[in-house]
Amino acid sequence: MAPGLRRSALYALLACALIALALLPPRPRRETDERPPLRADIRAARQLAAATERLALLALRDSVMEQVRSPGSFSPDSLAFVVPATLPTQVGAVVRGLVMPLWSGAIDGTPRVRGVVVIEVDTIDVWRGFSSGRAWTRVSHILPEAIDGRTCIARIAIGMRDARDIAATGTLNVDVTSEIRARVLGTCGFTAAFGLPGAGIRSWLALEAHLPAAHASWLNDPLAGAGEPRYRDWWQQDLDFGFVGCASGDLKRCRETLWSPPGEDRGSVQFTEIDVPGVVVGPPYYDVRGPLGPSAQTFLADMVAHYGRERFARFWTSDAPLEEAFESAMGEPIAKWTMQRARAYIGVPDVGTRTRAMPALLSVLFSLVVVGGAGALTRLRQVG
Amino acid sequence: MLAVASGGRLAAQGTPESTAEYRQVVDRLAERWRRLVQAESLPQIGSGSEGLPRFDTVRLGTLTLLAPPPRAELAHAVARAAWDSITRDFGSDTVVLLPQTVTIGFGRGSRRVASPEYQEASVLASVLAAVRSAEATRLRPDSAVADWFSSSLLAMLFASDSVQRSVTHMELATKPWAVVRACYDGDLDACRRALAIATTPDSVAFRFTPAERRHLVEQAMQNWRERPPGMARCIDAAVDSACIDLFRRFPQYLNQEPLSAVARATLLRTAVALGGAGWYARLLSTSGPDYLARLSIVAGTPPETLLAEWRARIMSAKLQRMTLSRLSGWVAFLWAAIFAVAATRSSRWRRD
Repeated sequence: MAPGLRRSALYALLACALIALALLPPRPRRETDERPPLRADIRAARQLAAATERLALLALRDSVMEQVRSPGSFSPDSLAFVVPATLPTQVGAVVRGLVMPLWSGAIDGTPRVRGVVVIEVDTIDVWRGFSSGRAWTRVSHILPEAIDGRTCIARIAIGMRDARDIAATGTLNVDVTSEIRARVLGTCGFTAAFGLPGAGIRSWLALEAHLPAAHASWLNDPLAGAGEPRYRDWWQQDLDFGFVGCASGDLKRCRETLWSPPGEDRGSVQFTEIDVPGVVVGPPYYDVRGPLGPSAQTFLADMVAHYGRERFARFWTSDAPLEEAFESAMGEPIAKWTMQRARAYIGVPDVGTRTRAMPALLSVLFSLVVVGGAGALTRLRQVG
Repeated sequence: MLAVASGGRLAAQGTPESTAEYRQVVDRLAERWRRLVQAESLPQIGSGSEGLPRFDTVRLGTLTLLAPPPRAELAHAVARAAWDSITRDFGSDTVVLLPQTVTIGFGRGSRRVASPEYQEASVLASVLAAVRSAEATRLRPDSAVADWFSSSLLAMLFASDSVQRSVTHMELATKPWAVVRACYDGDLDACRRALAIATTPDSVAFRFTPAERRHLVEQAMQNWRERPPGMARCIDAAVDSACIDLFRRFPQYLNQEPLSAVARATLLRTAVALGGAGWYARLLSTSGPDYLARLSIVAGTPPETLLAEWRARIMSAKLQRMTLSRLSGWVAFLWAAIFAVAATRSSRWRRD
């Protein structure tokens, strides 16, 4: 080999080694580090808006409880509905027809707490996610711990445009129906079905902004299905790195996903310092990129469907920390269940730095052909 | 931050949060936010006697401008121009406008020094935008207004009148809906329906004919992966009740107004022109979903008169014609000549 060629090969090898040193093993992108900090006044404005919303929920609580306390207004063991006068009277009946089957399906016997559903028209357009200009229906909850220990309030805030459609047609459109169905019961549904959550579960739910309990309907067990995982192709694109790692079998990652706060929309700010215990402000929409995966809102409902009501009730009411409560009720670590559940949604992703045999073999073969071909060509072109 | 937010309220852990206590937290946050806004918009270039930044105040009507000393002159010029524009837009109604304080910044962040004219125009635009935006926010909770206008009412109102009337004339002449054609022919009731201003319990049956409903359903839902129940009856069997049912179940995909929001803005403008002084105060004083009745109050005329005047104004608007400029004609001719010369020359690669 000519000295010049040898030097080039050496440089190429050195460059490869440098790239390998810099990039291997691959690390997840640290988005929080890349995001510039919010300007203080903007952060304060958002914090003020969030606190104002919580204040409105507390005022709503006071007003509802005033009605609840007046004799004969609400039956203690049924679900009550409060509909504003600005909406047609049939709207109350329509929402009742939608919510009652969910409530009865969730509760086996007498509810452990009294439920009140308040329907309001949202005067703020929180998120204009549709080209038609409609806003998402938002559901917030005021849990018994923020009231009297025996009552749970769900507030459904319907966007202005949807409210006008409802007033004109007397029916709920498909979007409002599905949004209410997916969120209305939330932690209130779990509390009515299984009683007040234990201290460990309560603090974990607060950390997770109650997202894992958003959907209180447990008819289907995703782990029982033998079909294709629902989000099989999603993992490569836009899912949380920890969630994908968990599905690939890394139990440490599974534990981390359990203790990571939900992502919500990128750029949003969590204001834990102004949170009111037991007041759950519903997100306008679910972010599929959260650490508990694309169906984070069914995390606890999936657990009920998989392990059954009795074992789940033991877990739910336990005062032990989350992982301990789960293991003593279900007999296995929660990280393992989290991994199985993640796999039920996205399958077993092929991740890591492992080199696969076939592409490696093909690379070697291709290199041999190129080098051999180049050598043969050089010999043919020799003069003299 | 934590001290500000939680001062005193976490002491009673385990007992429900009191609304009154939490209101104090919100008040403290609001106060903190106000201070931060002031600090952000008025950077420390020189302090007054109380340690606060110095700034000049210019007041005209409901408008207050705050400006740092180096930009005080600019603030005076802008305040006069802004107030002229506002009084032109709102006339004597400026008295009902929300008091508005606008801070003129220091022009930080831009490396290029803009010309004085550009600076003045840019600050004027932001002052006017702040005033209109405040008024638009005030109108927004009015669901009838928000529903009837798809974009900001005030922005549309102050846009070019002749262009809006031309656009509306074009819509009346070309939209395919039966009510629009009838309105063009002079049927005022059809105009009412075309403008979607009529208060009716069943707007679906009111705005479109059965054939139009079928067409709208087909157009909106033909690419849906799953055909909703009733779609086949509506389109294939032409059962109108099935189409109406689809409109009621999927209003967000099917409901539309025969004429655009621009046409509706021209109706408001007609009402303003007829009503004259005090129109904005009258608009703010009305409420309820019957928007035609409210506009009649703004105009000070019966609804029929308002509609007739609106139609007359639209029909008198000139349609914009496509005209060919002299330069475009010469350019087209030049290109044609180049291609003609190129076509007549023989190719150098030609063999025979």
